[in-house]
Amino acid sequence: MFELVVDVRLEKVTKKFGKTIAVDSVDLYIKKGELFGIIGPSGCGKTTTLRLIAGLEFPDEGRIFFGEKDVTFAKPYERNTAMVFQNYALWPHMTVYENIAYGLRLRKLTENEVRRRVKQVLELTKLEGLENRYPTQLSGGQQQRVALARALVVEPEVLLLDEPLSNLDAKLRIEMRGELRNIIKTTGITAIYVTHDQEEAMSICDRIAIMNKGRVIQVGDPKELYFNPKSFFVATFMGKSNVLKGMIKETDPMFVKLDGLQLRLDRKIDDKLIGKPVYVVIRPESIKIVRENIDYAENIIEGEITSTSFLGSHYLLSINIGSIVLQAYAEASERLSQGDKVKVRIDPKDILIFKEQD
Amino acid sequence: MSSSFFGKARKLYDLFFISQASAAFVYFTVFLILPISMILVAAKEYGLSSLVQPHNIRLSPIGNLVTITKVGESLNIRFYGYSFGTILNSLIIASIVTLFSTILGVLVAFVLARYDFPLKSVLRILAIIPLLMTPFVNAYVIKKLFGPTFGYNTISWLLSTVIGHDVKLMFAGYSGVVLTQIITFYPIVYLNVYSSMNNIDPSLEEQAENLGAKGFRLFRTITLPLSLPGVMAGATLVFIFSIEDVAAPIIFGVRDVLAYQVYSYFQGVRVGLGNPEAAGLSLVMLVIALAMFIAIRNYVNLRQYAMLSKGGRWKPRIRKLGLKGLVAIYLFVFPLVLFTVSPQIGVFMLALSERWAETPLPQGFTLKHLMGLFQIRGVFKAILNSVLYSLVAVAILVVLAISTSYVVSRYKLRGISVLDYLSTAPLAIPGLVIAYGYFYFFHDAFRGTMLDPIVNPALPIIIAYSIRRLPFAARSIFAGLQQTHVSLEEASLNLGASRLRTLTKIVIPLIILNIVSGAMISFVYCVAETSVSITLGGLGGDITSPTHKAPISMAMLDLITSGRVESVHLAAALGVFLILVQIIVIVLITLVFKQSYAFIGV
Repeated sequence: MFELVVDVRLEKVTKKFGKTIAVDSVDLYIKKGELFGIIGPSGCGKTTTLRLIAGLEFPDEGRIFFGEKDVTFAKPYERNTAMVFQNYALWPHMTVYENIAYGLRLRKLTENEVRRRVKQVLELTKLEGLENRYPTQLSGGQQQRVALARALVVEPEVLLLDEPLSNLDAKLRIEMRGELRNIIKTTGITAIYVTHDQEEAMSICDRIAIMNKGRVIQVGDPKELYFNPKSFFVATFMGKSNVLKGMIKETDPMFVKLDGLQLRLDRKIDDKLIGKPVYVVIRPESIKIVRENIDYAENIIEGEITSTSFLGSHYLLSINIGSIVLQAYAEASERLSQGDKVKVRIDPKDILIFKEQD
Repeated sequence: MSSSFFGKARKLYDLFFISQASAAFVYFTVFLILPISMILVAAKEYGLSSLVQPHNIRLSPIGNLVTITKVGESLNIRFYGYSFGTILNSLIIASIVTLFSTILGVLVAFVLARYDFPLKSVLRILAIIPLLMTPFVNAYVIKKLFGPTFGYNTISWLLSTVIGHDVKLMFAGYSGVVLTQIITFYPIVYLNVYSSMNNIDPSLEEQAENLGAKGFRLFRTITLPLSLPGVMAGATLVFIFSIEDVAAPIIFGVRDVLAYQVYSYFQGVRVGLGNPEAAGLSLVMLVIALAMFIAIRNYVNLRQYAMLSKGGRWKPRIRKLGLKGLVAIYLFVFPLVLFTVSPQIGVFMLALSERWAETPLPQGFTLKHLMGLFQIRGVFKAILNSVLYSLVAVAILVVLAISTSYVVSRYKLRGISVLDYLSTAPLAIPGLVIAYGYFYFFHDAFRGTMLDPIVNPALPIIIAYSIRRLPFAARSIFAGLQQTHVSLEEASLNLGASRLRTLTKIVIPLIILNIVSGAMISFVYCVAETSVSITLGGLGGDITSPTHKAPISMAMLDLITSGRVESVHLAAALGVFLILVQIIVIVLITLVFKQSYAFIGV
């Protein structure tokens, strides 16, 4: 729908605030029309990266390109981006209409054209009829959509979203995910989406960069990051996980020796790790309860349920195996209770091994 | 209201609440509402028809704005101004002063709140120096620097020396009053706007920049509208302060303004003869001030300026200035602000010089005037009087402020907000109106007793101080209570402590910093109080008498208007004393108590 769609390239971008390095030599490539997520814990530099792209901060080193254009030191008003702030930043002294029309009027469009474009974006964001309200008279979800409409209406080259859903309550936040993705995808714009919520990023974004301590740790599509994390940090940041300490045994096939049991591995493990202490990461959903012995399946272990918490659609269980406690999910229909002895199976390909906590 | 109010209160709340609320209500009724309402009675007695007479409202003005004459090689430019009659004069002067103070205040606030440049902290300090109060002396110094004189005033002398051509520039009459008031009052706008601008969520401006706004457009469409609460508050205060300011009119000899007329009533009383119109003119002042106050309260509330944001970064992004901006700041903003600091510098020069009469600059250095503060008995007595009155007034107003703030912030009851209004209203009521009301009320109702200002003005002055300066302590204490979570008190009540015990053992220790700093600010404003001091205070005997009852400002006024050169220097020494007291308190509050809030604000 939008005509000006560009790719965005960050080359070795570094930003310091005093002595702290907020963004540390970051390289990113965001394709045309891609909905790109940047996630990481608070203080990882994701918001600063976004503000650098918006021109609200300037990097100490590195370059930023929109298409072929070098925008590294362009002022915020000189680059054609539009940002949706975490707190929406709606101007309280202007109506919804005035808020949305602001950017268009700066672009010196005729009042007729302004009216047409505002009407169009109000339709897109399902805000018809609220034009004359002031922001304080809107619900959280409506405010959020006004902020999005105001950004989209100027047809920016790049749309920037800084935790746009984090001020909504939990239920609305999940509802808005799909809506937000639909609206952005309809326009075909290049969008960069910052959030600390990995689940939100996975459900909205095409590709995601994970940042920690100012550095980009891994870039990939949601599935790749979830199932093929390249580092301990990514593995534990994406989703819930059991973290155990173990030792790799040099056998074929390979085993990892944990306290009191050993598990077969399916992945190729770096030879250097053999005989060394390692971290073992297993996701709760990889631990499956089995009712009968299946001969050909490896990694079947017996344990005792030490606690259950009922979460509606499923249980979260703590299963005691020797001196190890594993968290696992079970169907709500399983009718498990504390003290039950169960057998669980861990698929070898779901066991992740990392050298250290990096 | 009262019977159902207290009936409901008894059902819902305890004896502690009732005694606190009613004590405060009684104090406000007897010492604020009654004296002020007596003005209505007095005005009615004298009749209001004279208010529309030409000497009060004149639609065909007399006088002229500027006279330019050439005497030989010398070019004389003399500003004066038109007279539209007492009432219109006050309104016009206040409007002009408000307009210029607002422009200047917003400019300085914007530069300091949004930009970073070398020597910024110097500018920040310079910008609040005009708020250091030196009643009458600063107006006197401004007259010396810019006012009418037979020879050169300081600015003409500087100008002639710099351009090498004989130019005499002087501000006399109304123009002198306007100049003095702009210089003195603009920091009130600056402080209010500055704090407003710092309260704007930075993302609101960043969003506009992101959408393409910059420079003046960004300021006009986003920054200014969002700081409007501060602009309105500052402008209104300047307007009210200008209407009630009596120092500049006295020094520049402008008699046909409201403040001078009401003040001159008391001069008349000293010799047993009062201007009967004073009641009506006081009423006009009160109506103007209250109308302004109500207008902005409604305006600011009408729109929802409560910030919408809940989180995000809250550190304003300080922008770097380009070359053009830097040049503008150093060539324009700095000189402007330095110019507004000149009265305070002049007060020091006057206090420390041998003689500054006919010459454009002071001559000789001496400490004798400062020593004179302690050696000349009448002057020293004035200092003692002020300190005594202020200490007693502060003791009263702190108790009152704790009571009202506690009741208002902790009991959610319809009608209780009246107490809130009463405790901040004195900010908007011109001091001369209070003085007039007090005189009329106490002289009438307590004739011949210790409360009769003719017998002894000490008690009425103390009570007037306690009412006039209450808002400063009340705001500080109220802020403290709002920052203290109510659950800390509930925990104490839950364990079986009484309300009184909770207040003394839990609440007061928690907000002690707010109480002390509120008390200190109130003290400073009491010591430097003008309106009540020079009216009721003038009834306490001649300041040359060692047993007089007059406070510092009265002594300063008498010294300055005495006509003796020596006395003017002594008045400046009193000004230096006041400045030092104010600086000590400001430093203590900001550095020791780490409390920071605008010293003047609604």
